[in-house]
Amino acid sequence: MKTNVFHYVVIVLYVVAIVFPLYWLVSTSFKTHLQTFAIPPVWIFTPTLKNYEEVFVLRDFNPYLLNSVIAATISSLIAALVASLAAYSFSRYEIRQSDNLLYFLLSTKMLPPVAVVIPMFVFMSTLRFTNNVLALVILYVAMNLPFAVWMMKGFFDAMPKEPEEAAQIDGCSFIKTFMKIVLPQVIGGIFATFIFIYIYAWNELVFALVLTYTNVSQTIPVWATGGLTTYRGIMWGESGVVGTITIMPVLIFAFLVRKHLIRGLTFGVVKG
Amino acid sequence: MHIPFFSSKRLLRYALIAPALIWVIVFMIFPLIYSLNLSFQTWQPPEPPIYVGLKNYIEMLSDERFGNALQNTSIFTIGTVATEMAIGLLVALSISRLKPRIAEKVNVVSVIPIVMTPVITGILWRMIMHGDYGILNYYLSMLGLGRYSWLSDPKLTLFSNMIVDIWHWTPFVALAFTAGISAIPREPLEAAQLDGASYWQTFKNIMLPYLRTILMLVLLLRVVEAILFFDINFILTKGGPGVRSEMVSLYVYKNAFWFWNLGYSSALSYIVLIIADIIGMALFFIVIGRKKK
Repeated sequence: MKTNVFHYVVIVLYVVAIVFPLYWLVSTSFKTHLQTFAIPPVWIFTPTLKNYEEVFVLRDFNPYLLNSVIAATISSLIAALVASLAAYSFSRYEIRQSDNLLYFLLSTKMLPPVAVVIPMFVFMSTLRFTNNVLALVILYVAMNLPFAVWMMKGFFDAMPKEPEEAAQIDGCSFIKTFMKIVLPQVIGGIFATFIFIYIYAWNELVFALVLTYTNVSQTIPVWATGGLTTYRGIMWGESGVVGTITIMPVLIFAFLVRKHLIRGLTFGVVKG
Repeated sequence: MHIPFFSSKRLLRYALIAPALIWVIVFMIFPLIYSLNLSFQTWQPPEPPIYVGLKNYIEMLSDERFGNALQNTSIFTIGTVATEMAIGLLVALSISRLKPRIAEKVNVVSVIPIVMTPVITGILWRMIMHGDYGILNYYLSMLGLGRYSWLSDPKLTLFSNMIVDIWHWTPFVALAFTAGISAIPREPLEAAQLDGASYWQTFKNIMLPYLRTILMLVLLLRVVEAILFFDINFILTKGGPGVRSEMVSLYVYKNAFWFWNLGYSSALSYIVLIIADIIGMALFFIVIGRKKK
């Protein structure tokens, strides 16, 4: 019985350590200036939307939000499409050197982003393609493809081959077989992969930090690195608002794919 | 005429993988080849680049600031990964003893820090660790443990970065281990219990062998990510005060985009790349090797 009490204490401390900072972030976004600095900290209060007004109206947050949505959505759609074709081929056909190709893709996941971004900055500057959301889209596709191929290959591998073979014997074209037979069976897996790469793109900092300069293309993380402090220090209420708005979509998405989360985070090796 | 290689079926399978491979090669690998070339040059825009051979790599050997960054990254990596593995394992063992319905809820909570935007995690902890108004100091002083300058005390800032990383990634380790523990077959565990084995004996002799692959895999992923730690380092302390919490990725970034040493920073980035990839691939093949047996 003693070990049981110990384990409960561990769990309670663990949950509090995670939830408490998150609650504090969200509650700060609804506090007045006075409540934010109140000692002792205020736990129950009448929420105010003043900070939200501040961020959306006075700080003109919308362009950054829009850039983040565009960069993450377009790049994830392209990456999911391109990766699903490659993953299908790797899963179904004999590809020469397929193991080496897959390891090659995996190894790019270990590349330091700062190593890729220096030459990329030179290229994009030469092509006058900096400060453009499309430049981010291109890089986010490249960043997410290896992971997407690995994860989707796992879903294709788990799918029976017989229905496709039967369809092909019946004379169905590849495109028809893929759309009618294959896709409906792995659509859940493709959706989970899409959510994953969406989160990665949404959270990305280094590429956007180097390649974007103004609200024409800057994403939320880049703007948040500098936009939430002044010479007087941290802007508390605004930090709470931007933090809350930025993590909400990610938390909702992650909740939708939580069954696949461990599989995704371990490149499909651990089937959670 | 029918040439086998160009038969439509053969062509198709390569046509399907080509876009993915080409995209990655053009936008990831080709830039790296270019920056390898750049690493043999000195280039401080707007001056034109000059080839200098191995000068950048030789200079690195006596670059004390790079040495400092390497040391910080080593301390950070060993400290955070060891702590995350230990706490993560403890939490996973505790979760595995909960009722499935409650365990499921705890697992949902675990997801939160893992998927949170790192920049926001940094901003959140910058507020929590604030010297005057931070909630951390408030509760510490209430417990009589004193107040600390988490973000400006030279002795503490590296440690503060580590705390945030541990908060960020321990839940991932816990989730992975929870998945691993739930995949262990029940019979040997129950048999051990009947035989009166202690908890520690059961863990060491029955659970650990089953968990070995996951342990190595989690170790691999955490070590590589810790070596490349950047976002929170950039937000929380910007490597400061001075260079006390500056890690390798941040040093490479500053060299390129604050000091505009594009050649030298390329050389530095290659060393970081080699370190991360060698450690990563070595651990990876240990994992795969074990899996095949």
